[in-house]
Amino acid sequence: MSDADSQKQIKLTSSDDKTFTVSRKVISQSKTITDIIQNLGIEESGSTSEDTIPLQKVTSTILEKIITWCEHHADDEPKKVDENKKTVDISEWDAEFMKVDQGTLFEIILAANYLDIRGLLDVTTQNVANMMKGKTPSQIRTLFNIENDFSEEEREAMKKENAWCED
Amino acid sequence: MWPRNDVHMDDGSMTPEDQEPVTDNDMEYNDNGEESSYSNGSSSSYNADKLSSSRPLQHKLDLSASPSRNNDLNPRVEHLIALFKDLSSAEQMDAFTRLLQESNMTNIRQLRAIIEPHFQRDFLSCLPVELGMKILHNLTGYDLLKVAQVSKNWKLISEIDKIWKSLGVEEFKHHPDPTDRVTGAWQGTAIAAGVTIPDHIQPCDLNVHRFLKLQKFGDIFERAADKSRYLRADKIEKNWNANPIMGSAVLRGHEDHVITCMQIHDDVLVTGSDDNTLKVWCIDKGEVMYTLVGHTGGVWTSQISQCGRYIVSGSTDRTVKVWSTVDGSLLHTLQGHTSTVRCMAMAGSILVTGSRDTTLRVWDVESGRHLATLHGHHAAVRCVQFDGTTVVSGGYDFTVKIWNAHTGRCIRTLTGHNNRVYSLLFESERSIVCSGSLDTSIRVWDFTRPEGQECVALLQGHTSLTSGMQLRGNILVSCNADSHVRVWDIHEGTCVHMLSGHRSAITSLQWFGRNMVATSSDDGTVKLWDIERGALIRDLVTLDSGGNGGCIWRLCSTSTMLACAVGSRNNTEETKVILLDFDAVYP
Repeated sequence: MSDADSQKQIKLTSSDDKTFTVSRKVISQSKTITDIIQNLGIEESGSTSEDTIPLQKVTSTILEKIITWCEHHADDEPKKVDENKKTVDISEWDAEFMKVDQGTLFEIILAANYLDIRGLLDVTTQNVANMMKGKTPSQIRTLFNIENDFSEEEREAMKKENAWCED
Repeated sequence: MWPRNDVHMDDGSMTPEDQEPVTDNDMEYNDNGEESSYSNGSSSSYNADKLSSSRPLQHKLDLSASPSRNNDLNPRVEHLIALFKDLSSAEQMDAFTRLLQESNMTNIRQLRAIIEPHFQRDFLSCLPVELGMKILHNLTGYDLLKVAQVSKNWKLISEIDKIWKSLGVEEFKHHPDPTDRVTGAWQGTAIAAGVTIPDHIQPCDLNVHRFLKLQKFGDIFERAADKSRYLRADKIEKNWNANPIMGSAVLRGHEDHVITCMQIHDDVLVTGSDDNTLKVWCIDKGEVMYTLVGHTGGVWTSQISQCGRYIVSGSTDRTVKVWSTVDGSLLHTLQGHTSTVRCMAMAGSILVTGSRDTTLRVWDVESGRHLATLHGHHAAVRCVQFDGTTVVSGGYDFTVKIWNAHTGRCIRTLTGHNNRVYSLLFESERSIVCSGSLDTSIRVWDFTRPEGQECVALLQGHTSLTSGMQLRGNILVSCNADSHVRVWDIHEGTCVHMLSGHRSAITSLQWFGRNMVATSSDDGTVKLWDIERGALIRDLVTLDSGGNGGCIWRLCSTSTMLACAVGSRNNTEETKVILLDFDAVYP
């Protein structure tokens, strides 16, 4: 995206009808919005004041979080994907950003997926995985408020399987 | 609609249709613009299942409340709630704050238990499957096993094949199907007077283990095959590293003689001996299939063809013989060498043999035809490698020679060693040759470089003859008559680890799995090492006669089995092959 484009602003409207103005550069991290801009021919029109993109699936609270994340990461180098590496490194800033309740984190994940913001989706899903690491099933249930819905027979079968695995 | 990648679901019960209702529920956002930021994004997207599961919790808590708080019977509470509903969001927040200040800690704790679920989320059950999988891709196999025990939904998602396929190094996950190894010699064990196998399973437990082995493909394999494959590979690695050894056997043969060479191909083990014979054993059945009789001198080298159909042997009787593995019959006798046939290498059906007569000969083992003779060494040829086109040979004339097998022409002579060359490695993709010599050094050569500049690394540190080497990437492992194993970086030309523990010459080496190396020694032991950490994992076999003549001549392995050729120079130890089983079933 050219320098001229980076100065251009784009308006986004949340599902609860709040409008946010962001630079094209910042929001270009969303592949979905980039595609919408191209499809609508907004660039050719040159008339930015009249064009807003409605995001019916993202609330204003979540959209605000998304924009905050994108603003912070606007100047990131494109991440080279290390195929061998199993996990994503989470920066201090991102870790702080993700100190939200699970419901909010859940909606950020859905929004990052819908808006196709790869970096944000990577760190948020990694964050959820990190919550699971090293924990017993019981601890995981408590952490995420999950009911143990296995029947007695299923628990016995699992006990046998796990005895095999843990030898 | 959310953008969805096409996820291939091997588990038939986990279909997109099954996930659709949950997805729909979770896509509903709270559109009420008047909601405060406190509750917005926190209580929305709560699916029906979650609401129903949280209600019993609240109900239980209500039962524990004092009678005065029973809403149905207290008009004052009803009145208060009616007033509360009339308040604006900001006024409600103010009322909440002040009510909390008026509440005791018992009630506040109960409130926390009621409120907290609103801030929690069952991610894997509520997210679209491909996002759940994306989360699980970040976990280890160990953590995935815990995840599978959380709930039915979590178990289903955690067992999707694609997740387990991506775990671990592909190369080390493929093993042949589970083996029997309960009949023939396996009925007993290798534990005997004079032979110690530390960590061997107790005899009373052995029968239970053998019974459990009968079910080769278990429940997990049927419903989640890739999880089962991962677990089996992990179990096999643990069987090598730490678990009790769950089976062993003794193959008796070549009595009063030395086992000079040993090879494995699939389930066939071939041992050659200075008793002039070779024996062909079925490993799984623990029995000998054929004894190959015909040589009139000791057998000093043998090979099994890549296709597994031919056994080739070289002897002090100067001949090379080609045998059939199908029925043990002699197919060809290849004559031409004028002294002991000392080494050989095969690619496809083309065989190269090296001899004390200073020559190498090239043969077609299918037709028995002699194709070429390679003249040039000035002393016995001691070791040879062959990739189908290029022959690399090392000799007692201190040189390593590179040949074209088709033309018989010597392409290059590599000089630098100042004593006999005893071991060779050749990696043709990189034109790399490694040679070990009695001069104590190991040289790494690149024979595509200008003449005289081929030696790219000189590895020094060993103090005697290098008896075996293996190379992967830039890591070379060598074993030596000085009793040490060394791990080298051939790119840096440095020694990364020196592994001490054997008390005399190491005779053989085998690298398998990611970082495990087994070594056999004149001291009567077989040791297993971790060459990444540079540490001994454990002793696998120990002869009481070690130090008094008992020794382990040779070692070879598959990914699930180790074979050790045992004997002695002074009859203190009977000649035999000890087999150790490290296999596992699919759970």
